[in-house]
Amino acid sequence: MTTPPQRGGRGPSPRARKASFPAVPAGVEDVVAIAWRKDVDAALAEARKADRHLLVDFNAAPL
Amino acid sequence: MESFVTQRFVPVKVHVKEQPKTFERFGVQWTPVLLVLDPAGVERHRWEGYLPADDFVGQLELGLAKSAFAAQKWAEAERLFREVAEKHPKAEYAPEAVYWAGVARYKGGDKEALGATGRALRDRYPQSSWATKGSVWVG
Repeated sequence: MTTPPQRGGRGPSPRARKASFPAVPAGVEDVVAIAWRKDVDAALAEARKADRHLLVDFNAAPL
Repeated sequence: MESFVTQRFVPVKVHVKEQPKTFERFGVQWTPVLLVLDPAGVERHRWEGYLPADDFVGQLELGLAKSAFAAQKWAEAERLFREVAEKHPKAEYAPEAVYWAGVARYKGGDKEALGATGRALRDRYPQSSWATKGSVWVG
């Protein structure tokens, strides 16, 4: 992802240049590729059966 | 990261608009919040906010270490906490991992572990609250 040039073609804003993280942090593609479940109780049963831990991501991302 | 998550965890996404009762059930009042539950469903670790991939993995590793500690698997817990501290030495959770590695070692029978841990925290993370907590162990 790139920051669109500002009016006058001056390139990314000073704020964007100073940003410590890229707009899309490294690894986001991996997160997207993960097969996230939606049913906590079904996932709990799966975790118990497989002796794995559960990672639960509570979010409000745009649907 | 994907393989680490899928090999060690069953991953679940819960959206505030779709499952508000699940938010209540786990006492989540803000987003994003991430929880690590052990295989029995007991919460062992949580953190707020999305992180760069390396720190995200570090938090997952910290959760696994806390889970081993809760299960009183002292040697495993110490190893996992030390791995967190060694792999992410500059992360804000690194001194916490050093602290708990020392406690796990102490619980495993090494009575000198706390003093050594207090000194390590003082030397490596002098500004950390974990160094303050460990300072009582330094004679």
